[in-house]
Amino acid sequence: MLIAKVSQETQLCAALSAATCTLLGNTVAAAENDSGWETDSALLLYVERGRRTEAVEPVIKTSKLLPDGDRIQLKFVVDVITGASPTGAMPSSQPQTFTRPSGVGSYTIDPGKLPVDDTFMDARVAVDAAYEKTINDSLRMIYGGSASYEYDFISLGFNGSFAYDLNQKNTTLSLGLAVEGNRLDPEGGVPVPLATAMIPSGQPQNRQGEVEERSQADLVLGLGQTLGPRTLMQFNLSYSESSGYHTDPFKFISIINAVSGPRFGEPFDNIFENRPDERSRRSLYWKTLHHFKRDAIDIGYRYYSDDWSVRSHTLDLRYSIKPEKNSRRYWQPRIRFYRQQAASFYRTNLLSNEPVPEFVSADYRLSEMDAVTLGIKYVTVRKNDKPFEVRLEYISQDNKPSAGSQLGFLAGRQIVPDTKAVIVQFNYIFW
Amino acid sequence: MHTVKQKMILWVLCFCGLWGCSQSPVQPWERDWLAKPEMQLRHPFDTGFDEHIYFSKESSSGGAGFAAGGCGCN
Repeated sequence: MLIAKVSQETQLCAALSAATCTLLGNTVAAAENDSGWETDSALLLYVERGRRTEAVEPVIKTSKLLPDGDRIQLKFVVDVITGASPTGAMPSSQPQTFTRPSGVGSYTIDPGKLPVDDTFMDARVAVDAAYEKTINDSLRMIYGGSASYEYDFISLGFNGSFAYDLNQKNTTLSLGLAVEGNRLDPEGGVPVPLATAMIPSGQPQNRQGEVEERSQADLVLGLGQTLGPRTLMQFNLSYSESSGYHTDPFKFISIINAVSGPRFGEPFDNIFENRPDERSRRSLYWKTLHHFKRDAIDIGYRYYSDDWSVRSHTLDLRYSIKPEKNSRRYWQPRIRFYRQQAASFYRTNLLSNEPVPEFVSADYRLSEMDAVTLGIKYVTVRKNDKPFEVRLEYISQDNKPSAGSQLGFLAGRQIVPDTKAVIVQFNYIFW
Repeated sequence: MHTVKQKMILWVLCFCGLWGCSQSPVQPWERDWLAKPEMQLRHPFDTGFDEHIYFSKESSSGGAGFAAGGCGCN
């Protein structure tokens, strides 16, 4: 009995550590006191409706408790993405031919259809490492590093955080700092901002170089608090600053004919987008978990804002339903609500009789949007106390066009893509 | 000069801190509920997958941890 309680306390410390150091992109896994490697694995399948993005993402995470009480963790991720991606261009009454990003080859969009680039394919390999060092009974430090590689994108990051326990380990204060550097080498080169993208295949395209860079620094302050034997709370304040190339090199914005006539409201040019090269993000995050006698509830809320004028509210609710108090299996339904205000430079399209702004993007992810996620997870704890989990979720994202963008031909048509996606995920701890 | 939002954050922090500290500290032998898997503040896999998915499909990121960088060009 005592052993069980000590084990539970160890798990709680690890859970609090993970909580307060949610600062880290990596968590140091809750684990038992043995000196071997403990390995967990997961597989994510992500499929969007309409033959759009599909992703397969296996993850392996392994950790080891060192003799001095420190812990090391490694995570390996492979991510394969295929499918069609909306370009931001508008539908037309005529077939539209777009040159592929490489500048060689083209694809044609049928009349009335929202243009998508159907040759999108990418593979990513990422490695994360974290080392948790116990300084004394109250203070822990976690150092981490991450590297991610795609054929057109490389990212390297480092992070470190402190977690300080007080109030008999019922309160944990934390401070985390992360820095990241990115190098982008887009297919076909870096587009000239706001230049036309409608140059036929095989001819010199509007490109201004091969490589761009971006850097980012994050600061997170955290407060973890037990609010009784059955209630945990986490509160984070975050600030992030990024600088460099933020433009999506594969996105266009259409200039539509604003003059009344037979082609009123139809695109007559598509230009490359352009975004500011600085971004400051702030967020406030709160999460509380409470265990009833049998079930448990998990509520999270985030308020996000940035200097691109994006504001968002996220509410995330999970409820664990156990058939009986000490059941080794349970169901966990989930509902997540997300509401976002558009970025200041988001425009679904531009009119032919207005000047082109310095910064403009028709990327639907920067639009005003409402999204809902509905899901359910089944968890069963096997005889060796290792869980097996299956998660099934449905994401519905409703994106809204900017004001005055549905002129003439575009009136009543879908000009901003909605996203409907299904997630299937398996988590398995195999030794 | 604090904005209304900043004041709200300060009040919430003060409230939570005072509430938490006003409770009798939870003792190690009382923590069996808190140690259950469904009481994890951060899931070993789900949280990371969610951050990746929503970073790629929405304009917000971070909060539970560091704001994601990455490409997200899809």
